[in-house]
Amino acid sequence: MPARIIDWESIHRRLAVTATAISGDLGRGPEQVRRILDARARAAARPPVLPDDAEQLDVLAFSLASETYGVETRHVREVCQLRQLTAVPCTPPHLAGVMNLRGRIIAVVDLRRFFDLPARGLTELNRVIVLEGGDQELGLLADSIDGVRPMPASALQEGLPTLTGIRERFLKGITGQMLAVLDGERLLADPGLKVNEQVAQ
Amino acid sequence: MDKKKEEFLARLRETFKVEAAEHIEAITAGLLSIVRASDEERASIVESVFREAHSLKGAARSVSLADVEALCQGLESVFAAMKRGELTLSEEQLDLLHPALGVLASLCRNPGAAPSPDGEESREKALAALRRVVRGTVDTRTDTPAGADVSRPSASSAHADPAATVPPAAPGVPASQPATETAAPETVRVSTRKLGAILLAVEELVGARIAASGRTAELRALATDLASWNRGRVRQAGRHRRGRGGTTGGSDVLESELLFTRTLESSLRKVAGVAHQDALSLAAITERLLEETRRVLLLPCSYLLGTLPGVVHDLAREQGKEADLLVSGEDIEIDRRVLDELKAPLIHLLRNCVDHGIEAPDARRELGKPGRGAVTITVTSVEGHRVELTVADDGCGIDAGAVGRAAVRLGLIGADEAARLAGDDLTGLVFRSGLSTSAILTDLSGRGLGLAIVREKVEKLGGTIGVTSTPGAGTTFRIRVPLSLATFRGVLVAAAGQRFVIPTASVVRVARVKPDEIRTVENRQTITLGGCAVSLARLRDVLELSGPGATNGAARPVVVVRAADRQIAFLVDEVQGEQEVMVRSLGPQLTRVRNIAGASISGDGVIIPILSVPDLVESARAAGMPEPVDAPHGTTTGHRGRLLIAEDSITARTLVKSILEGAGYEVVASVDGLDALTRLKSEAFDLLVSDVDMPRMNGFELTSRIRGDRTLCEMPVVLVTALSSQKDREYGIAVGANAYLVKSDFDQGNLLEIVRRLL
Repeated sequence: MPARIIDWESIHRRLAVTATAISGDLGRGPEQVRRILDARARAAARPPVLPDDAEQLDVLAFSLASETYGVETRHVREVCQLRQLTAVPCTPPHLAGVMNLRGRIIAVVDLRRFFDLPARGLTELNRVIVLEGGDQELGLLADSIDGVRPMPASALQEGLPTLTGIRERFLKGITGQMLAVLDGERLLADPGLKVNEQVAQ
Repeated sequence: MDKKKEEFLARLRETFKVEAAEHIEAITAGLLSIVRASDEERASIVESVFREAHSLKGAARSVSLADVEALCQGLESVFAAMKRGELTLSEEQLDLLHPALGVLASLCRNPGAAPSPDGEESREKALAALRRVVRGTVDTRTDTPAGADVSRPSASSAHADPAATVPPAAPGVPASQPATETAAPETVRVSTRKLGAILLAVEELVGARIAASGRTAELRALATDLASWNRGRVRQAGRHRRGRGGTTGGSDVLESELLFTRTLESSLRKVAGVAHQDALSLAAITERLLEETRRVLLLPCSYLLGTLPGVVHDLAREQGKEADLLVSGEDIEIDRRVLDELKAPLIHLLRNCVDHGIEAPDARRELGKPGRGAVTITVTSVEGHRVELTVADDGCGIDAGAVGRAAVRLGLIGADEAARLAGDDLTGLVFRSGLSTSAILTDLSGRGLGLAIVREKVEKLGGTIGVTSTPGAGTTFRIRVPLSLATFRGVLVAAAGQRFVIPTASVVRVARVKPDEIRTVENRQTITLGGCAVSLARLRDVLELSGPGATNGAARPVVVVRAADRQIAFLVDEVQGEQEVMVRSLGPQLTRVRNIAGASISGDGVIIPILSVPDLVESARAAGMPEPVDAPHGTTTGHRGRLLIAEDSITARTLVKSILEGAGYEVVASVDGLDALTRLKSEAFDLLVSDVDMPRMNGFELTSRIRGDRTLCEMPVVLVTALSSQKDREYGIAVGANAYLVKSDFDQGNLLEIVRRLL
């Protein structure tokens, strides 16, 4: 007996079900349908509920040694390609060097070294995020820039320092998606990221 | 008064502060020069100090400073009397005027400060002093001499209109000024902070200019690439035609493509040419703009020298001596930062002149000199970008013999050396720290540190200082400093693979030494240069660098530098020449870095650190005995192979380079595939370590080009990449790579292992 390749019976059954559905005989009258559509339209038109006039943060997300970090865009002046880097002797290891940004000299910091994160693999570190605040300027090395994410301030939770390896005082918070948002202001002001040293007499 | 008005008044008072300082300075200078002036000069000086006092009064009134106004009124009365010829100032009267001016100056420095009882008292005293001076006039009038302004109540605190609504009086143009006013040069007052911001913006423009010329060069390279590709196509087309026996057909497509690419080539050349022209004119404009902007930041020396006559006057009086300071060349313009740095050394030198140089009036008269000593400061421009400041006195001079004896006593030089030196060479020893010939320590100087500090300050500016002296006739100090802090000459050196600038002013000489010329004396390595032993240090050690050292055995360059009075020879890998450099700070995060004075930016935009010679000398001294110069560095065991790295990420490039160098390989780095290919064709290498993802030519293409080249095809290639898919790996091997390392699990061990196996 030749095998039946097409199961015509089952196809007919399914077509019958579909036909019934199309004819609107699913127990919903036109009035009901209208109400459903109306409710959907209202839901779609409602602005997203931010917890009562919550503070909005714009966070620039970047990756560094296969982790993702963020820093608020209000501290970021610009992001640029790292083209030239000059090492400065007699400075701590986390100071990768200084770069020339259109004639300005800016110190560039390798946060992995600053936070003693495990050096894993060979990273590109080809991007620099230039932080600015008051008279201070500082470049942070990054592997890549993942874009700006708006979020309510309340989305930031206090992070466990052990979770991210970032020392607590530099951490503004952690989002639900495990994005560690750094405190730009603190990074700019921290004496640990500055050098002011005389030769020992 | 509401808050806004108060703020406005506060701003006006800030402006007033600057203006007042200028008026007071002018009055002080005028009073000092009046003593020796001829009758005609005196009239014009009186006229000018009167005008200054009047202007200051007007300005003070506009910002409701009744105290200042009252004092100015008093001064004006004095000068008015002098103008009328009713008063000639005696020494005593001048001495009364100076403290009054001091009180006025201190009031103007803190405009609007709450009045204190002390301040009240000193103000009253000053006013009384001024009245006493006026009472000394020939017709003994009271303290209100005739004059239009005098009828006005001097205490104008009761002024009805709020001062905040009155615009600040422009200097020299007060409201009710008589016609004697001369036209002021057309100037505007702009804060140096704003000017600095402009300079910074212009300097940023230089960066943009450099980038533009880089792009031009790239455009040209593209055009050249396209041209060579076109030539290949032409040959191909020719073969095609011949192969088909001269018939056309399929080659039509090739021909029309060729036409297109050749049109493209010629347009590209045109664009490159125009871009080059644009870059050139941009360069010319930027240069001019930069030059002009720097010039705007220059200030006349009078900014610094204006206050000094008063200083000398006061110093001399404290010492019971009489001395005047004569200044010339004060309109020569110098960078404000240089002027600020020069202030302390100049004041110190002046103290020195008054304290040690100028004799007491009686002694001077006995020697046949005028009772009043003369100190002069002369500013002259010398050889382009430098100025010379000469500080001279007509005092007793420096006793070279005494200096020599003191130096021997302190062990600064040996007795035999002292005997050999003579005259100004001995005098020059006064700059050695600890040396003083002064029999008594005074409040002013004599502790023997002063001149050493003066020299340090001047050297820090990239300047030099010298002294000459004629016993009995006087002493002359000559200071030479750069006109602008922005540029100075520097020696470019390389150490441990990095470039540095050493300020030429601190470099004594550059020489070469062979390893066998290095001696160890008292646990320190020394070399002998020009008959003197000089201690030796390796620049890379002092700077704590770990890059590759120079090859052993051969003679190596040393740069002998001097700071304070120590000389040290620094071994470097290479001396690359001397050039004009621009000093910049290392940015706000790096306020002060050990051994580094700042940075300069080379023509191609690369930052080169500028070394601080005083720091280096101190560091080298503190470091003690340097390790033997020829000790093998790290695990280096000679030449293990010459490797080329192609990697566009600077950090990855630096890391790979240092790992390989650490293992003793000689490493050359290139920035992308095309750069690597060019180097491979011109130099010999044993192995290539290449990134995959690079601009212009990626690692895969580079590898296949190498495999397709007859001379290069045997070379081992290691690809290091972020691409980790099996397909990429296979593709890498397919194009002919010998090994494929993935960045995410990169480690130093497996790279070295692979390189070792492949060589």
